Amino acid sequence: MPDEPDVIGRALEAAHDKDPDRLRKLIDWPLSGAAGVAADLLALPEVERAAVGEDRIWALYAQVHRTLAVNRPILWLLPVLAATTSVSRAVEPVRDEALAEIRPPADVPGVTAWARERLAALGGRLERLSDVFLLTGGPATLTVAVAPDSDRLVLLRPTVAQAYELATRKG
Amino acid sequence: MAGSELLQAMIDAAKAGDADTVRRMIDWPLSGAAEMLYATSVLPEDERADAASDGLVEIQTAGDRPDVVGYVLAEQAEFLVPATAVESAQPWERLEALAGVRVPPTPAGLTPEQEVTVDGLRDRSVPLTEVWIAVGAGYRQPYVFVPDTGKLAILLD
Repeated sequence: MPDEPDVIGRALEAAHDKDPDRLRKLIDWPLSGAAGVAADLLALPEVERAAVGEDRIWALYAQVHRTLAVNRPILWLLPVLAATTSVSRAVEPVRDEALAEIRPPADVPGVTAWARERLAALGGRLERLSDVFLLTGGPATLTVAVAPDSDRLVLLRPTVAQAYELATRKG
Repeated sequence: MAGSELLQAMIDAAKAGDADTVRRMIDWPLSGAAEMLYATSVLPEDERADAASDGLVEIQTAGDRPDVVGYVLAEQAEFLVPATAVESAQPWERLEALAGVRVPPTPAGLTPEQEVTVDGLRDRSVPLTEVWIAVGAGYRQPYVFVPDTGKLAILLD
């Protein structure tokens, strides 16, 4: 897989080594989860968003520190990555669609100014993503990008929330 | 001592093999509280108070027990001894480090006394803002400056 970014290779190595701690530190959790948190907040009545918005955003940033016992998406990702046999660049329209899905909305009414600033900053970082990669060969296809500033993987498809559900369903 | 100077002093102590000095420069309660609470929160609710009882004692007394924190100091030495510089954190590094020590909402099932203790730790964690990075070959390890104790919180992951 000569064309893949180095961080994808390191993630595959961590998965092959069955090392969830190395793997979780190679994922940009705030970028991967920002759209999901924004969607969850938008699903709440506007008056309730300020009370939970900041905790939800801090939890995004804390996810990298959460070990396997409380980091269920890693539980699902590890075997999928370990079984990956091919990495390729996504082409249009998959690339643009996947990047668009991961961007939080421009505004989440009702959240605090701090939460609004953080979501906007994450949205700005997500705007700078460009290359998208498809990881295939395992039980599911993963669609990822690489964050140029953190040099970590951004999970596009499935999303963090979907990976959580898949891990929970798997038990 | 400013946060950057404190981290440099910690690096110097580690390079000198002075684990006791490194241990005394770490804010152990804030370093361990978040991880302990997350671990507690995944337990059945009726088991959390017992687990938190042990966990709270452990993080409050860790700094005085070299036998208990020896493995943590050994892990820290891997970052501190080869470090070649102290730098300020990038914005995303700063938020990630602060999130690592920020005490999460208290899970249900704790005793009222435990809730007070956790609230106190959270009140100390929320105002933290200053993060410094120990830079080495191929890694950047964050440390959070805790002004009220003049110590550094480490990330225990």
